Amino acid sequence: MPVVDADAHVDETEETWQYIDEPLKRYTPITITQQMGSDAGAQPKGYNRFWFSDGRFLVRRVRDDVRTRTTLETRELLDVPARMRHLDELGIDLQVCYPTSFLMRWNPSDQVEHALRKSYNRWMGSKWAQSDNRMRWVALLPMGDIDEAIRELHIVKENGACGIMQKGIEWGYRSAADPYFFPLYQEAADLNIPICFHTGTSDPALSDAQALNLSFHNMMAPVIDAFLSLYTAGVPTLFPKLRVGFIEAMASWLPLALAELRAREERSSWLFPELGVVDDLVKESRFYVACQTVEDLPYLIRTCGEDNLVAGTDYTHADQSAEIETLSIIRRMGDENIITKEQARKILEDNPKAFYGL
Amino acid sequence: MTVVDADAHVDETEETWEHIPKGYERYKPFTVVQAIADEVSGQPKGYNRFWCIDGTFALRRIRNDERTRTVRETRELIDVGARLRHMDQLGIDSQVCYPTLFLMTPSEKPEAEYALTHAYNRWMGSKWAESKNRIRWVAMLPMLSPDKAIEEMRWARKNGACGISKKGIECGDRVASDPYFFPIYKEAEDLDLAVCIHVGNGRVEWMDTNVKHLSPWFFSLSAIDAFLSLTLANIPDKFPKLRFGIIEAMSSWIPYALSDLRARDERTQWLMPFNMKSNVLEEGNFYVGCQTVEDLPYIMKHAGDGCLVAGTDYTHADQSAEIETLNIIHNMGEEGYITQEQARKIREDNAMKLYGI
Repeated sequence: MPVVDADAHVDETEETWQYIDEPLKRYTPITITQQMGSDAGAQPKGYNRFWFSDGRFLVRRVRDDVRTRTTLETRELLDVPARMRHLDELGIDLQVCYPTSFLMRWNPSDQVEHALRKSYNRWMGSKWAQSDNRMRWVALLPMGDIDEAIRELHIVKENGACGIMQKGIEWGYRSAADPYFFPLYQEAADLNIPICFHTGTSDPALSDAQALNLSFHNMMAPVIDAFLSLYTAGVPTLFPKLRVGFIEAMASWLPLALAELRAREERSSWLFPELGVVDDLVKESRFYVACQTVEDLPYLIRTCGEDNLVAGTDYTHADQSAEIETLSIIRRMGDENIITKEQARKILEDNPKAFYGL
Repeated sequence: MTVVDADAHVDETEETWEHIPKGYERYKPFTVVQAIADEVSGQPKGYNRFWCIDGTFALRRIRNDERTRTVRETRELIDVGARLRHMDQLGIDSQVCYPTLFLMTPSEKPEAEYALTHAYNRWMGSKWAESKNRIRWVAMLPMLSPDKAIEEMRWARKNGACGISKKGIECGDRVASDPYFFPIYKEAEDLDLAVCIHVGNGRVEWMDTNVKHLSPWFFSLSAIDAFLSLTLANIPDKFPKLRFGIIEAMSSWIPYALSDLRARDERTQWLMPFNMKSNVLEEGNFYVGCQTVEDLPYIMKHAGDGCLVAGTDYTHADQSAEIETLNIIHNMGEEGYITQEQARKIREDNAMKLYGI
């Protein structure tokens, strides 16, 4: 079985945008950097470089190689073989890559957002082709037009994508269980490709240029909402082959979500008449949740079973989720009997393989 | 010691708005009800009556007595004596009451917000006066008018309020640690009033007329955001005597939030330095409303037994409502699921400390 880094990232670079076609080329993001002054006021270190497109700024972080334990060449995929060599050093066989700037929403216009997303997909497809199938990726779909999203899904599936990224609250404050997304869920199930609810926001009013916008409520809470809304609306039953992931929001929210569902079932069945909370809810629903090494994994495994946790390094990033040794630490937890060796193996290998259909 | 129902509610009624101050009558809510047909497609049962406030609509639920195990007279405080008798039957000495309408944001006009909160506070003050100090309450503040908010706090303190209500995110999407709220926190600290972050939402466009706005992201998860935001901004250090309650968002999020803080402490102090305390909840004067469906032994393993409180959600009929909550927790102690001392702390000591009762 391959060891899978279930949550890695890439940093977008100038090359990412070269696939934007006319007449939208004028929306190609450019880079703006602080020119004067020795510090950037209240901005965190490295948050003084920005992508700029159509009047909107998003942070293009200036990364610290030492802190991230990565280099510009591996983060921005300027040198795919270098990234592969780094994977070898880390004992990782496969990486599943998520974007960086698209954790926010680029543009309120569907047309522009779609163009940027498609360009990202083409860029990632080209990098996958250089990676000997080791660098898989999660696609960004034009969610403002579900028919177009389905057409794009077929293209990305042929080019190395192994998941679809969605925000927990997406495209006009729609919850994950909004029937608007059902045709996409059906197609994803048919194509054996999971929906990946990664932390992030789709609110075009929010930019990470204001660091406070990277709050729990904006970035992580939508993931929890997605879990609750999908289960409460019976989406796992409606789409019995669909797999769904909850990525980079930790896993310790699972006991909260399960308690909430039990409370809904016990106390407000008049409000949620179809809700039935089964013991093996996470597994039965084909839900997969990314855990982190700072969490109480034995308790989480008792709560949700051992077949649905995955883990990732957050490769490229330097936030609270980033631990480039994540997979080695989990293996060591197995060796040291914090969890069983089999549980460690499942988190590192079997579960992400099953989730992403690798 | 006193058994405290740390999270009860009242339903606003016509009498509530009799206290709208002079000159603000145009903001007086009135009730509209579905006129034709016997069901509303897509709406849950009883969600077809509304308050109309300055052209904005908010649910005025039609309650089911059997489901809530309450009656209109007790829910709307039409008969305070009846409510007290019901508390006696439930083994409750003191109830701390939160509103219903104000869990949403009925207006973002400062003058309308002032009129409505002023009226609510006067109404609750009058009911407290009838209750022999057993119905305590949490004041609604005109947060968009900070000077008026402080006046309201002072009045409310003298009229039975034991806390002030605060949304996790409000006043133009401001997080709980926004310095905008510091004068209110300072006054609350000086007046020995708890800051009570109850589930709810802070945007007028997210009214409960659309039930989607009662989902966790819109409604309850902002309370967790408040805990993290206050902790990461070291607010407990700035206001060391201030007590915070995180109410009706359950308590199973505590191990989650502590994991998040540990991760930030280990990995991102360079990005956002904060003071990671050894016992974040106790040292920060945080109290959290727990529920009987939760794994309380595990939660107390992480949070200690000095920070959990519990309530019945009296009046309401949602997933937080369990009118026997305090008896169930007592039984948990009797049956050894938690210790008797832990049960006592949840039912009595902790709630008394939070609310300064």
